[in-house]
Amino acid sequence: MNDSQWIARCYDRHASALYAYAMVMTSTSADAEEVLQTVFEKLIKKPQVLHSARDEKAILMKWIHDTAVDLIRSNTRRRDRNLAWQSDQQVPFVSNDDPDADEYHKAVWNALQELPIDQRSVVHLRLWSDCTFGTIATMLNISINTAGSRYRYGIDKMRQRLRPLYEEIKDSHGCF
Amino acid sequence: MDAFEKHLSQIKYSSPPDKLRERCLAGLKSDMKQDSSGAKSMENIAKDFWNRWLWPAPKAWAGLACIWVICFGLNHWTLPLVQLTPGSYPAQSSRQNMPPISVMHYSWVLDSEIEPWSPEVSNPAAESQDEGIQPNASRRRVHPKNRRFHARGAVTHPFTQTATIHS
Repeated sequence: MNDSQWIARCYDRHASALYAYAMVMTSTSADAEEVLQTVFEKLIKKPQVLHSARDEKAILMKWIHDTAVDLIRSNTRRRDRNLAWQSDQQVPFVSNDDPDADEYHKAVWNALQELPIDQRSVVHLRLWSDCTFGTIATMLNISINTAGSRYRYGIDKMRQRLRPLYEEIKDSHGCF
Repeated sequence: MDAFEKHLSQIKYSSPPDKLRERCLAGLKSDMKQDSSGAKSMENIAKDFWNRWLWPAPKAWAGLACIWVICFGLNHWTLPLVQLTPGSYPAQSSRQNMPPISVMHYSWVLDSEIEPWSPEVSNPAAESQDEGIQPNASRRRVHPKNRRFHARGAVTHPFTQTATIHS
């Protein structure tokens, strides 16, 4: 398998997770696409960086994180972009036929976006990328305790924010 | 992980748009076309080979190349001095018309210009032993005198050495 095939396989295998993380970090699909494109351009230039990696997904997620942070910092119109996101209300979750579930997804996305970016990234990596706190700590250059505390603060805020809606859905569907 | 967290983790993110794949992998397009055709040019094979060899330490390889270039340059500049023929020596007034000179010939000329050791002259301590009392003179180590050189112009030609030795 040469580099081209290997990179294409990397995309097919990890693009969904990388794109979701980029969406969480940047809040808009346009920026997420830009971040993902930048990361794969970097990978195409230096594919050998990942050849000896034990966990290529973790490295790619770190690249997504760094690129997204750079993009956010460099963009002087960040506030305008956030306002545009609030008006767009793009929810990156899979849509269901159930309107209650869609409403809940929208509330989850809004609650996630209200978190500070540090807590948001840790919560996403823990819940949706199945990363351990050790992996998250390595990825974000923080200690395991910091990763754990950020997760707890973030998930508590989301729980508080989503509690009414969550209880309602739980009672009506009798599940969760 | 409690029920709330499990519920959150079960929510699925949507896939990235299909167009994004083409954009992300646009840099690979030319390579992928070559792969699909199944033929890879010798140039690309050689390029891959050198990339794999050189990439792990490009600075080290560049340094080694610089050293080789410097060595080659020094060798190139010093080579003409070594390959000088007798005829290409710098012109000197006294040796301009001399035939090619070998090292053996030079050494022979130098030896001939040195006066051979004369035991009578070179050991004055032995001569002076009988002249008077000199304490510890017999124990003193006697060094022979250095060979004396002939006066300039005494030896005109090396083949006439035996005739011109000064007695």
